Amino acid sequence: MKTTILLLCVLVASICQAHCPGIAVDESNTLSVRIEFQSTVKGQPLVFSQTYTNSFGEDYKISAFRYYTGHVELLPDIHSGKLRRDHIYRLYDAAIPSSWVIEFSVLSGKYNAISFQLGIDSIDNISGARGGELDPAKGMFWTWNTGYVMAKLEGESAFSNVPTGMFSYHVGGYKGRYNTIRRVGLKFSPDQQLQIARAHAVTLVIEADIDKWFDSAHKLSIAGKSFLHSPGEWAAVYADNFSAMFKISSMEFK
Amino acid sequence: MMRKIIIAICVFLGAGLFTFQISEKEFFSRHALSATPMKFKIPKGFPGPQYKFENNPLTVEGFELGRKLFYDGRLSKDGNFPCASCHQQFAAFATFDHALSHGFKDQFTTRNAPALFNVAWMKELHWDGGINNLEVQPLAPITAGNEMAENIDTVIAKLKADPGYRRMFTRAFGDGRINSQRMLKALAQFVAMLVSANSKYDKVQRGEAVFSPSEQLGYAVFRSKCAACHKEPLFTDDSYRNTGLTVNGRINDYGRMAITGNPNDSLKFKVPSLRNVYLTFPYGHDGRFYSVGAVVDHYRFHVVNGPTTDSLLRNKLNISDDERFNLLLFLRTLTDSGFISNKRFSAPPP
Ligand code: HEC
Ligand code: HEC
Repeated sequence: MKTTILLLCVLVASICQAHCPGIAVDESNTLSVRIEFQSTVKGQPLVFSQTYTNSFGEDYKISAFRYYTGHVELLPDIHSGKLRRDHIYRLYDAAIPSSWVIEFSVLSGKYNAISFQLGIDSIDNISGARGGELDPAKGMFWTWNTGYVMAKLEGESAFSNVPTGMFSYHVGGYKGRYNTIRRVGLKFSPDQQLQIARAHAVTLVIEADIDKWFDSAHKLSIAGKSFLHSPGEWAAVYADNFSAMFKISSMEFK
Repeated sequence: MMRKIIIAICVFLGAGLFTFQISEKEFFSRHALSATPMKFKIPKGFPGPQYKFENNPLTVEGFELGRKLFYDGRLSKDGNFPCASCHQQFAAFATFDHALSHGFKDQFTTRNAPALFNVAWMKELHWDGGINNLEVQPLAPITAGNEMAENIDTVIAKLKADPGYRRMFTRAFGDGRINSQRMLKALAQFVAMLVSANSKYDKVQRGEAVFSPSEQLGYAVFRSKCAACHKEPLFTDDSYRNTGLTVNGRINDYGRMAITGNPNDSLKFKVPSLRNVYLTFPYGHDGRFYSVGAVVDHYRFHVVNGPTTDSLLRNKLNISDDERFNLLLFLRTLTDSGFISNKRFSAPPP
């Protein structure tokens, strides 16, 4: 019986940690986490006006890159389960620097990986009018086939098969095998694991390499497909490539 | 003792989760509790609604705000196309006498505007079921280039500029913040309240009236030939079916397949309710039929079989001329004249 109560207390404590950001936690016992999402092309920060070349030799310029993240978790090294720390969805927009940073706190401890979701849970795709980051006015919402666009990449290329020379990929869909929600897990190196266990604060820079949108899990040339604005088989394929774009480029500790 | 502690912990835990939930859907401020609650009455014999009123508590003020929005041209780009321009009360909120409705710059929609009533019972909306929640439905007409052609931010800006709206949003939601979520919840309150359940048919079911002998015979025909899809009491089973209509080559509308990507859904459209059918002329997803009789004759003579044509219709429907006559008389008993003259649903006084 005593152990049950103890377990319950631990549970309550951990849920409160996760869900009641208002409750103060002992400073000395917490780790402040700051994540900066960065868009890159082949390791260099994305520049909107610049022309790049993908692995198929196709030129491209990016004009928009936006995506939803959510359910960010630090994974402890014991297999006792993951601690969900940040339920909130965020819309990353390569054009709006204030959207690049996520900050939250967790209990300090030994963590060996970070994990986050790309996209919006199915339940949140079917539950009506939402506000904040999920406001349909943000332009990440399909009005004729209800659901969120999880990621958007737009630009131009001489190889586009659309008359205007534009390419436009809107990746979304939450149903069955066409589900485009993906979870990304990024491991820390042994050295980073040691350091995070001792730190009060950590800043992670996570970069998404846009070149991989075209070539990673699947080979997707611009000439082959320049336009995608609906859920389905193709969206799921692009979601695979999208989720393979992410890696930790640096971690700094305090 | 132990028990009590555990219960206390559980309550605490529950409360924690609850406060979290509230912050998630903060569209209501606490003051909203002072708005006047309104009840959604489920007519006798109807199932429970699909629309989840828990997430959008009905109030008189919310409904009135939704009604004003429904009749307000400012939701469209040029000011001429409020919801009510295509959904007219005297036609049970369908577009009367137009196969395809028209919107911004005289462009036509590609589908016939459905009547709006008993929408709260629909699992999905539109002919292809592409909309999964009543609240987000208005985004489709507001942003479609051939309908209202407006963008959401501009609509919200227009509403914010109007002190009258600021007052109404305050009354409905507790403070004057105007955003897409509140606008959509208010519209949903109005549209969900459009309940039609007082036709002669309903009165007969309640024992307040009797069918004429012809109507009674027509009802029997209906039950044997039509009710499998047009299921009582809503007169739709909310499924998608191919009734053997040929594709209109200028529109190329394959219905449900556009939403699911599944070839088995090709040419399937949502079964429409037949309540008020004599008010909603013309008929079919593209408005190709100019009378109820013509639809019945389609089932009798013109069903074209393709891979997805419904098995109930593959051999056409065997209905004699007499049966057709009585059937049409029965369908007339589905008209709810109180619904189309209900002042609560008509344009609000300016
Ligand atoms: C230009 C004409 C037009 C305007 C304006 C318009 N609608 Fe519609 N409405 C339609 C058409 C056409 C459909 C069918 C769409 C489809 O199936 O793809 C429809 C479908 C609907 C449905 C789904 C009904 C069903 O049985 O599935 C609802 C609810 C609705 N409209 C409400 C509204 C509201 C609320 C507004 C105002 C914000 C509005 N409409 C403005 C033409 C219009
Ligand atoms: C297999 C299912 C099925 C059966 C059986 C069936 N219907 Fe239908 N009905 C539909 C569907 C689906 C539509 C919409 C068709 C479209 O436009 O693509 C429809 C449309 C209609 C419409 C047009 C309504 C409107 O608002 O546009 C009428 C009227 C109608 N049916 C009457 C009948 C009658 C009367 C019977 C019996 C004689 C019958 N139906 C039998 C499925 C069925």
